[in-house]
Amino acid sequence: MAATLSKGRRKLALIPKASAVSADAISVTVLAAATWNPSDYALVDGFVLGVTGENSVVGTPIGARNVVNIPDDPTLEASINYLRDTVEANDEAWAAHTGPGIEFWGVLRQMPTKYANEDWEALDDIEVYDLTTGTPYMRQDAEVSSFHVTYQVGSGTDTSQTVKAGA
Amino acid sequence: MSDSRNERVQVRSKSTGLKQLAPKSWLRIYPDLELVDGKPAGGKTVGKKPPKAPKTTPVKASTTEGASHGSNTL
Repeated sequence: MAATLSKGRRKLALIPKASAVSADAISVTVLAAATWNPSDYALVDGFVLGVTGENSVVGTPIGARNVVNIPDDPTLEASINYLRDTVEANDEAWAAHTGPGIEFWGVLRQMPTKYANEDWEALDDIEVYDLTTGTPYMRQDAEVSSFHVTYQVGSGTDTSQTVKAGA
Repeated sequence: MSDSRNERVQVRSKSTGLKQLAPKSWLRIYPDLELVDGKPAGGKTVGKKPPKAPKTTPVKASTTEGASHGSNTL
């Protein structure tokens, strides 16, 4: 069986944007409202969520008009492989990703002191990503039935947040 | 694969009141959400428009006895 995040220390939640006002309003209540656990479906294989490098201006004269990258601006990427479930009612990850343009707050906890199967608690350190789905596709050469989603990471991302206590 | 998986509806958070266009299946996955007014949003892909009624030309009442002008009957 392929390893999912639920076996490790990274815990993932996908929260509909409608359920939380902003990245700094993610609370225990909001996190507990979901009935499915993305950590059970997200494969460790190919899991990318976070800073993957830093932009730098290379080969462009200073002051040139076509400078698009800001030096030291972190590059954020998000792409995840999810397991499919043969029982349609349990195929939660697939049901949550029906196409492009669906907006989530992606909440990631990766604290060395906590495992993925431990509940969310107030003051947990979290990274909150402003995610919009691209078009999901089935992985043809994977060892398990799974699909891939690349997300667009938006400007609402805040990678140094804590879980709030209230609603 | 059924296309019903892709049906998007307008949902609202019970706790915050905010709305979002989302897959209908989210109502099962995220119980905090409810359907807005029970109506699908967008309306582009959901349901069929009723067929248009055929155009009819209004028939003018003839003021002259025996004249057929303005009428499509013989």
